[in-house]
Amino acid sequence: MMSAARLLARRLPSAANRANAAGQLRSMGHAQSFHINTPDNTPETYFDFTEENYQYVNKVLSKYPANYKQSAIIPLLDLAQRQHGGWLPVAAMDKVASIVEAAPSRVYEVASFYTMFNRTKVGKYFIQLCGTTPCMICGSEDIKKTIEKHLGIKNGETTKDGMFTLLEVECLGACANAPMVQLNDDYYECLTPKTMVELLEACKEGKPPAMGKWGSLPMNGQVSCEGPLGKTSLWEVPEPPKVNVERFKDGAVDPASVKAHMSY
Amino acid sequence: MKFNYDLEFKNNSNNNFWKQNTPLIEYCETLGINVPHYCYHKNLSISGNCRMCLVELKNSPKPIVSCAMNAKSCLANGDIHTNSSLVKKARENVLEFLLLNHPLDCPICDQGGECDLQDQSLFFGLAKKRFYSFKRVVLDKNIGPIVKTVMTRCIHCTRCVRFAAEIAGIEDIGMFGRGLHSEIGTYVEKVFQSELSGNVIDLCPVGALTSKPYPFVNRNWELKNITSIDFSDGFGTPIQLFLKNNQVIKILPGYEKATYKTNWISDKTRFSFDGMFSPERIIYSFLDNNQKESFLNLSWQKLFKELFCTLYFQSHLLKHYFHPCSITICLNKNISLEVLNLLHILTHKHSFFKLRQSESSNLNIDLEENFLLNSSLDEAKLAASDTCVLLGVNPRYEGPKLNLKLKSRCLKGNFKTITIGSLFNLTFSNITLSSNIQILKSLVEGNNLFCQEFINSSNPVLISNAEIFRRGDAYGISSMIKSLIKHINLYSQTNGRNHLNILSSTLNDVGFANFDNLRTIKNKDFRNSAGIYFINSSFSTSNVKKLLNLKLLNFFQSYKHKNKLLVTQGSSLEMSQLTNFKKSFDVTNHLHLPNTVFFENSGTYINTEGDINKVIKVITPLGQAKSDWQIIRKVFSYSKKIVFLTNFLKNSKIVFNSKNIHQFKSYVGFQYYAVSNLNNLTFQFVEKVTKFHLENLKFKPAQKKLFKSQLRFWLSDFYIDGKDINSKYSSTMIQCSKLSRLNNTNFKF
Repeated sequence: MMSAARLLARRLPSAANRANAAGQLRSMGHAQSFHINTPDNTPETYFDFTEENYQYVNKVLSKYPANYKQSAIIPLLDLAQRQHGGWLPVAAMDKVASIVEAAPSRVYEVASFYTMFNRTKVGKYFIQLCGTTPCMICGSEDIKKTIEKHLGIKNGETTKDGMFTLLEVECLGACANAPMVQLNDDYYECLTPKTMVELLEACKEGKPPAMGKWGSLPMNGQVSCEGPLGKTSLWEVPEPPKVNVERFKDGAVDPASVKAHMSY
Repeated sequence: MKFNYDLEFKNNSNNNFWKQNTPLIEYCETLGINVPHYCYHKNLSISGNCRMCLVELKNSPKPIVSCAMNAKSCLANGDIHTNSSLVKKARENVLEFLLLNHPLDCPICDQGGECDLQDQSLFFGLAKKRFYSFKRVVLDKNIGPIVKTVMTRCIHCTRCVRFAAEIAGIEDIGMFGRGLHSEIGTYVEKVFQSELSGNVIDLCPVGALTSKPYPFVNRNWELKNITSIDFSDGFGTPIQLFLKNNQVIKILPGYEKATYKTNWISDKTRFSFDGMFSPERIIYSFLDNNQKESFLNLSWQKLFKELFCTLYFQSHLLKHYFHPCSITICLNKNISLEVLNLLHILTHKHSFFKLRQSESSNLNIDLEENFLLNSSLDEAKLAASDTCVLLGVNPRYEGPKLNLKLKSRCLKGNFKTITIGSLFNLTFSNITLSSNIQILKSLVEGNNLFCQEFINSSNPVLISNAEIFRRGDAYGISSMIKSLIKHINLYSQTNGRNHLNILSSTLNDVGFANFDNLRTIKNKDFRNSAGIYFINSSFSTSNVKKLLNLKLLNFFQSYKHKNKLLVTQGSSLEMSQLTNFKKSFDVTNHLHLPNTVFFENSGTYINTEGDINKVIKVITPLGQAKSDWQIIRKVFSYSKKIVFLTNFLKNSKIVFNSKNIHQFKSYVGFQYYAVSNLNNLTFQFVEKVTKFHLENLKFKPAQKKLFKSQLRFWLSDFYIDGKDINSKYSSTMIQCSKLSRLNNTNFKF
């Protein structure tokens, strides 16, 4: 295993450099497609869900037929990642595999396919910086430099105190409020180098700003994606889309109940 | 591979012979059109990700993937073009993309010459190169001593992944990562721990997975292809041998006679042949007479002279003591029918020789269906049944072919497998009732919860093996099975055939049982005989070891005869066993006669399904080795020259054991194979004739004794433990067994 890790350490940076120099490939936020043993991440490491999380596990499993337990792989992996501080050790994947009665490799496949699962250790605050075209035009390069300078890390690295990990990723879908970062689950948008530093400092104190009304936080005082000139459209509350009554003959569906059913 | 790409076909309403869900590609094949493909494989599920099998459908705007399309619906929609300009262009482009990241290392690739990608690039590929960027590099994975991986060459057809999940049942291989970074591997460093892992070498259409034990040995076109049969288990599966310079280079699955389809073969079949040619093999004769110099490399003539001088001397010496003297020939069940027959004639001609089998077997050999694998390999019969009982048998290791059939039946659904025996991962879902044989009793008496299920099931199948009948309570077990069949109507006799199946452990168990049930070697034989003659691996069987250990513990009295003669005829010798033997049985002369191994031999074997397999000699023997029949014929001819004084029975008279005579089969079998001297057949009962009575058919559990011991699988280590002679000397198998034992233990070293 050590030899594989060493080989990888020797190979990956050079491959990345070469790709960047040629301008053909970007890292695209991917990790390596196989497991490398580290002291805190071996197949023998202990992982188990907590008591409360087991209740959630049962809730998730109850949504699927008993012979389709594999459907619960993604929600359970997500749960495991949240419980384990934002990243998934192999032991957690094995645990999920044993819960859903699937082969471990099926769970590894899922976990390695989706980029929202971090299979190597990340900091407490996992900064995913959007670097795709709209953000780049609006200054994501500056934001990246600011973060790198302020934290003393480079793209893909973690600070020594284990607080921050920086990763440049592809479009996160908040182009209206570019540039933006995703800090763990939260979107911080309309960033400037100054507000980025403020955000990082707030995180260091353990008090990242709360999300705004619409589920994200534009850092320039906007409420949502209304733009610097304030609201220019949608002055009134628009009429809700017409519900096809035929489809809900048995009675209206309460959206809240749907969310509860989906266990959000 | 031959591509027949000039054929195009139109919807012809006469062509209605295909099945409902036949993929188009398979239908094309029946018409003689080979559509190029990578991911599609007849025996695996369809993934449709290589896009190589694109064909044009008349009404479809885009080319369609012929492996993932139903032939019937395609033909209903319009004509199909397999060689139109669109199809050609599509193939060209697909190949270009596949070759983007595929290294151009064909000269150093083991797959070269038998590589689908190479062939198809030649036929359908673009001659020019348009991409000059860097190629992807993928780390090689270590998945065990069987399969060598060069993962950069992988084109992600996922055949190996599907094979591991669907056929082998060990879901260790997967495709990890996404997009450009996806890799085939095991994610964590792991050995692909399947007894069928070697098949991925054949499956891989490129050189990503190649054979690790034989890298860089040959090119495909240099090899001579000969068909033979598998020697490692009871099935005698057809295999293809590839030879070069009188050496076996590789073994691939052969074609089934009935279906003309290739099969999966186990790693043991594929790679244990190097044990036959290992340095441990003894290919020269020697004579060790406890003096300072032992005679190595004697000529055969000298050898036999030496042997018979000794015998003659012994025979005359013992005459003065009035001891009937004999030579006990001890043999194993992996011997061919011809040799068995020859030995039989020899022992009838000269009663000086006695024939014994090395291990006991209490299997009832009256009727052929009592020791055959009657039904469980017949797919139609398996499909009709919905319950299978495995009694003390581990089909995964004892007969991988049987396990595959059961697994494929299990995957079709509505099939319950109930095992009685140790817990084991059979790679498909099964219920283990108990490991204790006493459970049979409760099943028969109707005390068990499963009895109800048996009654409700249709055409249940019972599979057991010949090895559990070696237990002391074998008669109890067989009577239990009999009553199960009768009383619970467990094994219904549909189509006039019994659904009781006995899986035999060696290639010629059935042939042996057809022939006769020989007596087992006992201490008495050691005591009374002047010499012991071991054929093949019968020397190192557990029974002989047990006798030896008991002797070492002074369990037996000292022997009357001193100066015994030991003859070993085999390709290898266990030295520790030999020294023990010499010490405890007072052997003065030890002769070793080197014989040939399986592929250097011709012979006839009857496999566990009752099929007769003829094997021809494919390579010339190494060193001084001679075939078994050659050696025994020589023994025969030399013994004619000597008149043994202790020939206590008249020649050409056949001795039948009174116990044996009622076993009709043994008589018929004898008549069948030893016709030469049956003209003056007279029977002489050497033992007291027991009164012949029909067995009391009413079940009386108290009469039949069943031990309370656990049912253990006789084959604990698949790779080196089997009953074939050579696998324990095979370096590949030793590595495999080391790894599997390491992975199956809780202790980490």
